[in-house]
Amino acid sequence: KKSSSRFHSVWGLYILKRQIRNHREKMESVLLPTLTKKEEIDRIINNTIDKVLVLRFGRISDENCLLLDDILEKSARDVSKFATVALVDVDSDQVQVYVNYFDITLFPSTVFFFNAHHMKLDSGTADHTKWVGKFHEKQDFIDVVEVIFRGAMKGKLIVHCPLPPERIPKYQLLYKDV
Amino acid sequence: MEEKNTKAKKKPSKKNEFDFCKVCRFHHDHGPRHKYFPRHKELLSAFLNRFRSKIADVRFFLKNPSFLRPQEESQNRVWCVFCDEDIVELGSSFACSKAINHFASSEHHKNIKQFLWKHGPSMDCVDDFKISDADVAKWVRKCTALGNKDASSCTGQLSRTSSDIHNKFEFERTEKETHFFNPNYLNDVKPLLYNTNEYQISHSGVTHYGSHLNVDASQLPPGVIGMTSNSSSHSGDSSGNVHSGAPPPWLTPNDGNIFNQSEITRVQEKIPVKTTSKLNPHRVGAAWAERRKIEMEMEKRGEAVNSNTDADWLPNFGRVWQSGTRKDSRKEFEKEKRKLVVAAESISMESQERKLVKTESVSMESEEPVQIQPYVSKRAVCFAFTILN
Repeated sequence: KKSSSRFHSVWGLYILKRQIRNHREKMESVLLPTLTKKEEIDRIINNTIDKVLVLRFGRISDENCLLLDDILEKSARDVSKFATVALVDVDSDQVQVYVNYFDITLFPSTVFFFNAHHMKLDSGTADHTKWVGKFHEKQDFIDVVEVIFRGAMKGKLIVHCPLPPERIPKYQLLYKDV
Repeated sequence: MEEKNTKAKKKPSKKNEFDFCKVCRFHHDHGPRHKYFPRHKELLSAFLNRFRSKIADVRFFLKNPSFLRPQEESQNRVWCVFCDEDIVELGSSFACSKAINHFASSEHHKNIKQFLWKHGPSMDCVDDFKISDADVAKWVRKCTALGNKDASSCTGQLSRTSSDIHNKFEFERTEKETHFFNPNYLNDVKPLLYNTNEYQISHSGVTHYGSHLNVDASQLPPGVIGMTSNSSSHSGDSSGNVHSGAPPPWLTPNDGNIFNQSEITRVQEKIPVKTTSKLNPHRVGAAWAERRKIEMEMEKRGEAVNSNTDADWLPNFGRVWQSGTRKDSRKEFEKEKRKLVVAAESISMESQERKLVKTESVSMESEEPVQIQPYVSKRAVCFAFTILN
């Protein structure tokens, strides 16, 4: 019995690994669009109608950014009915206008749009215009996007973050020389 | 009631008789107060809306008079709720003619007013249930015009669609002979009257044949014994009869109910009018979304669309350190951008002028990188500073 149970556990593990590999391959085959030009960003903002647009500003060399990207990729399909997710490479020159305009100083930062209007999120932090940092888990991200969608559908430009404070990344926002 | 009596200062309320409210369909002793109750008001509005739709149907016929066929008379009845009477179209040649006349009558108007006085808090909807005399006059004119146009075909239709099967084939044959129809139409249908001539002719034939009856029955044409030989031979092929199992004339689809057609046209009219957009019109960016959808449709169709996305377009964004509207933040950003561009240009010009002078160019060059790269400069430096610390 022992040997058979060990065999089953090994076999089960093998199956699980294979599933994970397949899943990852499936996910990786449908990568999120990475934008490097202002025109691309403009296009995606203008073409996303009646859906939340999630723009991640970050660089893939950053560990936090990678974790955030992982969560975004995995939940992109789940929110696909009411949200579109895109990644913006912050090292590209043509994108600096937006980095400036959105006051992005910390990476990764996620900005939310709905019908070409910027949606603000009050998560108890200093900056309501974006989400700074990574999400704790997929469900957190989905909850945030859902809250934004519901608020936008009701005509609200700012919504309250549904996550408890311990799951919200904390950071210091500095104003010029202060 | 008793509770109210025990309260010292309040007058005992009147004991009203139990009365039946036609709208709420129950008995109550609220008296005249009843009509102000919210439930009664709701039921009244539903009640009046139902009657309004019936009047709308009648008004349709006011605008488009059409003939009323006898078999549709029973469908064309209206119950007038104000006068408490059923308006049946007996013997009227046009649809809803009696109803139209009734709704235009002064008695009906009086009854409307009485009803609303008794049941409705407001008297402003009286005109919804009335038909003005001017409209009636127009309708009458339309009817006479219609009547003159389709005199023979109308009567032919009427008589054809009567449920008398015997007459059916006769009408098909002698449709154009109006002198047969007019007297009969006026006197109501007398079945065998149409076969008069035939009957007379064949009757003599029958008597003639009758004498030879015993001799040779096979010589008789089919179905002639004691009867007129109908035109069944030629008309039976085309439209069938009871024996062939053909549908009766009042169920033939081509004739069609006037009401069905009117319903269909009304439904068809309604469908394009109703825009089934379930999205909240008050949602964020609704106007922009609608405009964009139209633009995209036009693009799909291949029409030229003015591309509004120029290089300087910026989305609606509320910046972090700005207070005020989002337009203000965009304007401020553009101002900053312009300042930086101007500063960069001025620096580059200066550097060009002073290239030859070494000391100054060195100092300028050292300043250049700081000024030309504006956005990273201060905050990122501060951030980097805090991290290092």
